[in-house]
Amino acid sequence: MITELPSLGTYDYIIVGSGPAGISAALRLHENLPDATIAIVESGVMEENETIQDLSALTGSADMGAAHFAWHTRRILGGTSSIWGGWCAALEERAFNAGEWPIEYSDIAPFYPAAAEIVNAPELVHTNIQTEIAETPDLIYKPFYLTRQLRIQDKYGSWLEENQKIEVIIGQTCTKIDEVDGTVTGIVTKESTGTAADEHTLKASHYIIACGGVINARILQLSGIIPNDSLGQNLMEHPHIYAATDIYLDVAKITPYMVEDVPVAHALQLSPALCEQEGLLSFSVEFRINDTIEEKLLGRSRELTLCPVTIRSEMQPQQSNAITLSEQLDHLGQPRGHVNFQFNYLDLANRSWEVFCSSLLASGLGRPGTLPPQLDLRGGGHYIGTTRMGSSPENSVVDANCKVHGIDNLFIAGSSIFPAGGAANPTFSIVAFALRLSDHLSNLAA
Amino acid sequence: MYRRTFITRTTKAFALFAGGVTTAHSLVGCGATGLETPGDLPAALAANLGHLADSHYSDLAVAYDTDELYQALLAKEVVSETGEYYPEKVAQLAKGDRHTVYNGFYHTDTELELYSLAYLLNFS
Repeated sequence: MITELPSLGTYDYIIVGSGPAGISAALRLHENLPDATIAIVESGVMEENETIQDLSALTGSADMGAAHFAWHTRRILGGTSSIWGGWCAALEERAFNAGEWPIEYSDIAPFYPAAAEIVNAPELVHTNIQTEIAETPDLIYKPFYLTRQLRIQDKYGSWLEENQKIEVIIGQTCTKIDEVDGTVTGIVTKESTGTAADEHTLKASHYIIACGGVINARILQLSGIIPNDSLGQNLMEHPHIYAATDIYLDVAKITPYMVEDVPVAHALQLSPALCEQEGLLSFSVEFRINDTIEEKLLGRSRELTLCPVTIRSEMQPQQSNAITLSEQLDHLGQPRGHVNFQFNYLDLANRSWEVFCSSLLASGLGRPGTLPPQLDLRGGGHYIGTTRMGSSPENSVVDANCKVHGIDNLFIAGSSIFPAGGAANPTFSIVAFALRLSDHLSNLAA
Repeated sequence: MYRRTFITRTTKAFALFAGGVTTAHSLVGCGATGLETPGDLPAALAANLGHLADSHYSDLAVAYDTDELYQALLAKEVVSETGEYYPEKVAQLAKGDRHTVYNGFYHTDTELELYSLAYLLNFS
């Protein structure tokens, strides 16, 4: 059911946030434990509400502006799925193999098929993740699958309305998590517009916070649940450089690898081995095939296409990029989030591009142009790393099962748990990790 | 030509892991390394390189000596004494070759030498 006030005081599970992470977690919990009562607490309501959305506003500074973060933290049933662009790609194994995650890639890969169904992605998204290019060990072909965007209200609204075990409580903002001696005893909610002074305390056996990369950290900070200094730090984005430069591509050489059956954005990426060799991060160069012209390449006349490319890539985590609490209060009387974010990506971008150029030309796949001296870096609205996963409670917020260190029944879902961003749009993996978390919780209940 | 419509970007040198990316004027050294008989290039070479001759490379080509380019490419086994040329050799050399920015796009040094020679043999 969808309601504006909780009908029960106590549930088996409480999920804060109704975006892709929260809804996926609820779907899987219900599938595994059909008799379990689940509350999904959503700050927003069924339609956009300016007053409620203002709760996402941040103070601080960021290369793309603090407003960028607020815009991509939607308070509405369905969360940021309401503006999602539909791009899907699996995380690169490279970061897992490099030990940047406390889990193996094989721990998350089994959840990609079910995640693909939820986000309306084709099977290829997990069966054709990337392709090696013959005689070109330094580059791989990486498709980004363009899906019919998941709009949670459209896809699951009726089902949620009719389901008596799942209670979606809209228009209630979680203002605090109550914790005693390492156990969460309840959450406190307030009506989101601030017009009603009532507070509600909801209780459950287990809690999942699924409010996005900014708010996940903020809720813990507001609640005084701070495992260590890493909470809120290492905020990452995906640097985007649109129409960065032009490249020529040998059409005959690249088209055999290109996915054609479903809508994709085509990209070439530095191979994992090359990234490791050069100490680089994931770096993808999106291209599209235009009309061809006869041009020379490595001493031959070839049919080449000339196209502008867009770079989408991974950035290093930096402690200074962080979400903290502001001195400014929102209309619920709580400190807003405060952001500090700089890409500091120029050097890595140029170095990665040089390596890409060398590889592209040496392979005979194409001829790259030069990057301009000033790069117009944009973000993708992907907020990563603020409640990072790690083995050590000294420098991470959640463990390998997404449980907050030191708290026995509090879990986090969303890309805030990612210790490495990869160059893949995160929603697909966010859903996969939410499904994995729900399976873990279901096993605990067994 | 398509490339005429694009702004020519800087040819500032970049350093690459496999060697150097240089400006386009340090490809073939100066100095008398020419043939015993100046102008004694195989007659077939101009014809075989004809399809690679392109005025896009004229600015680069005119700065070089034809004989010196021929000798350099002969030494690399990209061309032969009987006038053949071997594009597969250009590809083979590409990975270890220096890469140079010319008119906004990366080329291997061997490419630029070859295209310069093609231009000089066919247009000058």
